Parts: sequence; C-alpha cells; structure tokens
Amino acid sequence: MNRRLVDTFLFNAGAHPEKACVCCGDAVLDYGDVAGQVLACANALRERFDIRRGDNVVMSAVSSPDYVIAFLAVQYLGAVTIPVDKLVKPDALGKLVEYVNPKLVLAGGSCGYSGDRVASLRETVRGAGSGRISSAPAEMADPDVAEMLFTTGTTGTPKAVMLANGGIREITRNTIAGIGMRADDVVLIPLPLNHSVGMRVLRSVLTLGATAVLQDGFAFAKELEVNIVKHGCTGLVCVPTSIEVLRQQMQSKFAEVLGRLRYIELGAGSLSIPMKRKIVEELPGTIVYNTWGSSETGGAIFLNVTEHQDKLGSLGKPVNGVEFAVLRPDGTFGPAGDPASAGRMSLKGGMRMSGYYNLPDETSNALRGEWLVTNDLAYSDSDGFIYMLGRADDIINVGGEKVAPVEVENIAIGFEGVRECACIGVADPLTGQAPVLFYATEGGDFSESDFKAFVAQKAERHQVPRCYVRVDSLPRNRMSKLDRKALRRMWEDSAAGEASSRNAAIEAILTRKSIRDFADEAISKEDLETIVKCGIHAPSAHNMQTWRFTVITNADVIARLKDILARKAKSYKTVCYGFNNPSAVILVTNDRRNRNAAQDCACAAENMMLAAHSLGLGSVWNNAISYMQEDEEVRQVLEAVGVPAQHLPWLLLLMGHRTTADLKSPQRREDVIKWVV
Amino acid sequence: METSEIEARVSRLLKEELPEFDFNQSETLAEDGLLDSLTLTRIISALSMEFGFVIPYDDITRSNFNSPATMAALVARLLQEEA
Repeated sequence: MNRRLVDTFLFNAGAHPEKACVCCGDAVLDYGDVAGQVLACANALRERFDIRRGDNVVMSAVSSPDYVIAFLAVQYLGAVTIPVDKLVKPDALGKLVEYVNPKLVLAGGSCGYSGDRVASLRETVRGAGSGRISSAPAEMADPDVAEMLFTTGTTGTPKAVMLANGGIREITRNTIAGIGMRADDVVLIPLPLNHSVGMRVLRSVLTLGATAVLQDGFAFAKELEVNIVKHGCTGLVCVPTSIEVLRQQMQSKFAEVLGRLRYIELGAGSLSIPMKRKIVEELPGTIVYNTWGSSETGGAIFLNVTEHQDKLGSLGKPVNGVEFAVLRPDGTFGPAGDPASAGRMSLKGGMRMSGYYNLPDETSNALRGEWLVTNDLAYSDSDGFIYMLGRADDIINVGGEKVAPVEVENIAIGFEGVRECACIGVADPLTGQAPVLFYATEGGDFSESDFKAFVAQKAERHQVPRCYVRVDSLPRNRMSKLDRKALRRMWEDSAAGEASSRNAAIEAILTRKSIRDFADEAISKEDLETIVKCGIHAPSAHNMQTWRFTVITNADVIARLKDILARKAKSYKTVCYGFNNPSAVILVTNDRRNRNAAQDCACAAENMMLAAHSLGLGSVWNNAISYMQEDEEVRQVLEAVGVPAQHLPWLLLLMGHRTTADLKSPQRREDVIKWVV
Repeated sequence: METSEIEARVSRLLKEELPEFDFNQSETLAEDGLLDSLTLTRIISALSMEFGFVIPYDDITRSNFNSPATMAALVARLLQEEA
C-alpha cells in the first residue's frame, strides 16, 4: 500500500523490461533502460552530491528522458524533486532557490545560473551510465513531502506545493480513472513537466507501465503529427489553446492527424462551449476530456466532452473519491445548487497537497479541516456536474450586482467572428466596478457596433461591458492559461484605462440617443437614485440649485400627465410626440423667480439622460409641459405630486428599459461647428 | 523581389509586430524552445498578411523559424513557388 511511484515504476520495469517507457524524437527507451539509468543516477547523486532522504533537489524540467531519469532517481533516494521551467531566467531561479534552499540544482543546458550547488542535469544523468543494482539505499520520503511543484498565487509570488507520497498516489489514481488511461496507451505529452498537468500524466503513465512520448511544446504542429505517427500515440494531453494553434497550422489535416488518437485530455483551462462542440464534431472517433485540476489537487474534476453534450458549460464531475462542497459565508462547508449560492469550491480527498512550503498562513487558508479550499467560485447541478463562475477575486461588483466574467464571456463568444475574449472588472466612478471586455477576432470584417449591440441584447444590464478593447490575442502564461493580471495591467497602462472615467463619459455622450419605446419592466430604485443624483450634480446659474426633481413611477400619475399633454398640445401650439410607455417620469421644475430656470433644468436633464444611458436604460426629453406651465389641469397634477406653487414645470424625462440594442445615434450635422483661431 | 529586400522586410515586420521579442537572443530560436505557440502564431500571421500567402503546414518547422534569416529564406522560396 505504501508503494511509491518509483517503486511501482521499478516493479513495472521488472515485469516488462522491453516495453517502451519514454520516447523523445527518434529515441525510444524501454522500461529496462530507464530503470538501469535511474539506479545508476541515484548512485551518482548519492556519491557526488550526498543526496539523502528529505533533501530538496531543484531540477530543470526539460522535455527529455534525462529529466524523467533524474526525477525518478531523486525519488528513489527519498529526496524531494522540485522541477522548474526549463526557460527560467537566472534571477527568477535564484529567488526560487533562496525559497526552497535545495541541496542541489540540476540545471538545463543554457540556463545561465551558476553556484556551488549546481550541476548539469544532462551530464549528471549521462555520466552516471546504467546499472541494474543500486548501492544507494532506496528510502521512503518524508511522510509530508515527496515532490514540490511551484504555483503562482494571486499575489504573483510563487508558492511551492508539497505533495506527499499518499497524495501523489491518489492524484495518479484520479487521472487514470478520470480519463480511463490504459497500460497499452502511448501518451503524447507536449506540456512542460514542471507543471501539475504534465507531471500527473507522466506519473500515471509510469504507474500503469504505459508509454510516454515527450515533446517540447506544441508550437510546431507538424511535430505532433510526426510523433503521433512514429510512436503510434493513442492519447494526447494538452491545453485548450493548443487546439486552435494546431487547427490553424494543420488546416485540412487537423481531423486526420488528431483523429488517430483514442483520447485527448485538455487540462489547465476550459475550452469554450462552441470550441467543445466543434472539436467533438471534427473528431467523432476520439474521446475528448476537459479536466479541472490544480497543483494542490492534481486533476480532480473530469468532463467527457464527447459523452456529455448537454453539460458543456460544466467542469464535469469529481472523480470517485473526490468530494465537492463550497465554503459558505459562515465558514461551514455545504452543497451549492445554483449560481446564487455559489461559493469557493472546496474538495475533499486523499489527493490534497500537504501544504505550501514554509508558508503557514497560506496553508491554513487553503487547508481547512478535511477540505482544500480553492479560489474558484462554483456550484453544482442536480446531476453532480460542477459549474465555475470564475476566480473568487475576479468576480466584478457592479453597484452591488455580482457579475461573473464567464457569464459575459459566454455571451460574447457567441458572436460570429469573435475568436477569444476575456472580461475583467475595472474601477468605475459610478458603480464601483464595471466589466471591460477584451476580445480578439478571427480576422476579416468585424463590426464592433454590431458586436456591442449583440452583447447588450443578451446580457443583463449590469453585465454589459462598459468598454470594449480589441487585441490581437489575449495574454497567456506559459501554460497558455489566460493571464487576467496581465489584462489588468494592460488596462491600467492603456490610455483608455488612465482616463477610463472620461472615456466612459464621452462614450456615453457619443452613443446616447432618444428612446421612446420601453420594455414593460420597472427601473430599480437604486438606478433612479443614481440618475437623479446625476441631475443635481449639473451646473446651475450662480449655483442657485432652486430646481426640484419629482420622480414619478406611479402609473396613474404618468397616465394622467400623458393624457393632459396629448390632449392639450395642439391648443398650446405645440406637439407631444413620443410619449409612449415610460416606467418612470422625472418632472423637472424650477422656481419662477429664477431667470435661468430653463437653462438649469436643461443641464440637469442632459446629465440624467446620460446617466440613464450609461446604466443601459433609455430616455427621452419631453418639453410639451413647458408650453402649459399655468394650465389648470397641469397645476392640479403638480399640486397633487407636491410641486411648490412658485415652481414652473420645464420638462419631463420619460425613461424605461430599452427594447432595442440598436444604439446607432442619428447623423449629426458637422457643419454647425465653426472654428475661429 | 531581391533576397536582401525580403530580408529587410521580414526584419522590419518582426520588429513592428513583436516589438517585445528579442530575435537576436539566439540563432536557433525554435530549436532552443524560445518560440512558444502564441509567438509563433503571431509570426505566421504577420508573414502571411505581409506577403499574401498561406504558409503550408509542412513548412512550419523549427528549422524554418530559427531566425529572421531562415524565415526570410522561407518567404523567398514561397514567393518563388507562387510565381
């Protein structure tokens, strides 16, 4: 039961030494070859560097058999493997070394890092040769830590995730069960081996006695084809963005090449729903999985995309042995059956990490009782499928309304021509935060105004992006995972971000138009308060502020006003056009002694129309009432709604929810502008 | 188009389209694993748009993308084949 990964590997090597273990390029190393080199390398590590149980060994995660051999050799000695990116810069590596204080750094060829504890990974492995017996004793690792993986937390500071033998065994079991991996699988791994996904698949292969094909990245699609054909790959593990890269390069060969595979597992991110549909259509004979996992848990939630066409919006279901709950606001754990009760996703099971190395606060924040608390907001449906709303930190608070970026992204990606998009929350003077959408197109003609209209029509009002930013492609990290922090930096750095409030105002001014037909839906009290607040912030002559704003939502009063204006307009030699079905009316009046009454009211009216427009509402100015300021019936209504007798009515603002997303402003005359310079 | 002209255009294009990427850090950029998939995708689309061709799948190899010079050679060959 206590068998370590390396023990299982050596057992497999004894049972079928001739079977291919690791392939890379033209090289094929069988289990016997690899085991011999592992034992020899373990000897060398003990003799040359005195590596012993519990020692930390940092190693460059090159995609080659050397790395696999060194990894297993360190494990054999009961020491702790700590892989780092093969392209890590010397400064960054220096910081990591300072943090985990390794006894040895097995560096890649051109890493440029030097020190007294550094040796070349390649030379250490190749120089050790091969032996069937090790003179160095096999030792059990420390019960708490056999491996460490670096993960970047929300602060951007790397944390070393400690995994114990027991946890690693469970992570391996989960991947094998979740994907249905088999001993006869030949799995292509073009992912970096210092990350959770690549490592858990490699461990699963070695545990099953299957074959791993290592490849340095997926940038060159042709290399995938060569490997798949040459080594007869049956499985591929990759990241979601790789699919589009492969498709673009392979074009018509995409389905033919990838269709040779029994399965494809996509980890470290979700494929969008249209992309899931598309790939299943293109590859009818290949099972496609999309896995949710983390360094802290390994792959834990698996979605068989091919089988569950009705659950494409979900992450899938936790594999057997993994339990799901959410952390509730009161600190307890329980189920969440709908988006409203979503909370931080928490998982229970043997696959949990042991903690973050030397970071007690971060550890106690993540490990609570038997649960591991993630930073992902999630809930589950009645069939046990889990849905993620985004990172807890990414949720956007728009004037108290919570907007999950994924909700906006799922709408936006539905517009034809949008290749990828991402939504973040940015500071907004009016609503605290507001969504901003970054998007990239597939090229060709693209109408941003049609796109905006499409989103505005499908999205809830508070979900509508305040600003759209078109980019060539979204920023991603080495695992091709969307980098929301980079987006936030882009926003802050951009002129748009710096002057976001001004630009939002200009945007509102340039896109506002009169709306006369409204949906049968009330405007919220908060919105009306915001709108009228914008009204009182308008300038008034000599700052008199003698105006009054009467907010009317009472349908009877609105109907009465409408009736009077429509009936009497002609006799007052005016028209009352477009008074249709507003759900709210703001009556603006001013003291009859104020000589600037009309101008003040007009300024306030424009402020309020812009505010309404910014909030996704429609409005129109109706000034028929200014023609009948002393009309008896009008005065009766004014009195009934509490307007002082010395006040004259200047205008009505009619407002409501828009029924149309068409926000094309009418043509403006440019010839009215004259310059005197 | 002269080879030198193509080389100049490729260099200028790469500098414009990927200003943050140091194309001089190695003469074997692709073989050293320095081109990730997104960088390569941007290079491919920049070249395709600039010269008006689709780079065939079989030509998207490490040896063709090791340096601005090898990319220019690829462009020259594709332009010639087209002509």
